[in-house]
Amino acid sequence: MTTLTLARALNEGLRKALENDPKVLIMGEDVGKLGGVFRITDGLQKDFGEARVIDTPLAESGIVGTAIGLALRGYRPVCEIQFDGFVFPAVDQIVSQLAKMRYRSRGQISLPVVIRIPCGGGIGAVEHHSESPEVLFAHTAGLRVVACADPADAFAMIQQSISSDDPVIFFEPKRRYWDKGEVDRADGVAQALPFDRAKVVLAGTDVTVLCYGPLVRTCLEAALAAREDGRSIEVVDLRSLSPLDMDTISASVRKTGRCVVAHEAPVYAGLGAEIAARVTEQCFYHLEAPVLRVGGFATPYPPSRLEDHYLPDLDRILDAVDRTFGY
Amino acid sequence: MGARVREACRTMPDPPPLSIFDHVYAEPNPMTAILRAEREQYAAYLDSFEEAQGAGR
Repeated sequence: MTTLTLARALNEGLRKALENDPKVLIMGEDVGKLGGVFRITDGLQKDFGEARVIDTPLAESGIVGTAIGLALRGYRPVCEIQFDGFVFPAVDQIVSQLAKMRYRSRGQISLPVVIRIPCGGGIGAVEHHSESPEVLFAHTAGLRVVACADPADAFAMIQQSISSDDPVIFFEPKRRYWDKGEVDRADGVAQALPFDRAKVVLAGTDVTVLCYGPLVRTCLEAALAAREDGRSIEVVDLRSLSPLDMDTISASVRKTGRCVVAHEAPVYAGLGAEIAARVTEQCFYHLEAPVLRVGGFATPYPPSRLEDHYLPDLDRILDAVDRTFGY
Repeated sequence: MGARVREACRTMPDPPPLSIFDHVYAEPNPMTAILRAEREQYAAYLDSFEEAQGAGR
């Protein structure tokens, strides 16, 4: 086991993928010489060359379109989008081509493309740099959508995503890039949980809190604070946002009888709405209270001086937990 | 000029928390009711903290 930051774990996972498969390519804005705006690809162009770690023009639609062409010819491109809000110019390629090619070709053509997107707020930035667009992609059939939350998962899930024959939208919690954790670099992937499974990261008995990406750490901190008040919170890291691992989610909610979904994205029409509907359908007779959601407001991402109000923090999560006990 | 702009930005007062809900739509519509509900809920939440009482929202 080695202690790595989440950013370094991604870098090591990408390095492993490049070593293990000569068809793996990395492409994006400044991913080569600079090593990426967050240095996730630091040193990879130096070690693997400009033909495999490719600096592209500032054109997200072109990056993904080129990746689709490369995937058609047998490559496994990994595209970096510098910030969440920069993915929107590439949405046409992702939704209209990448997601649909397998269905359109009646299963004859798969596009194993990974699109890495640093997501979420909390770094003192503004719109385009702090957004959470995951539900746009979760709503698109043909895509897998995942989010890592800690270094061990970052290391394993990026490799699992690159190995997948389906296109994967891979969300990275940018404000957690510098969080440290233990990573098993020797057989991290062979022993790792499949990337489409949720994970109970803290067992509890009174209420289930479902979360992913940057809010996993926040929810763990909330659970530890609640423990002092005698309340036992089970924290589940969803990891896969599409498909959802409803077996793990339902098992937890049937045990606790209460459920709160937390995400940075707006609550309105967010992933929490889909989860709340499915939990209600599958766990109705076990629920002691309605499924509650806590997340961003139905507004654009605010100026940085207001983001602490916009982002769910420990207190807002505990407020939602308290409200579930009001029924 | 650059120095003046930077200084002006740094010394701007923090916007009131509930201004987060302003200026999303030009005209009233069903979403404004949802925004109003979120605003009222968040205002009540802030009021539940003694520290927030004097925050000047």
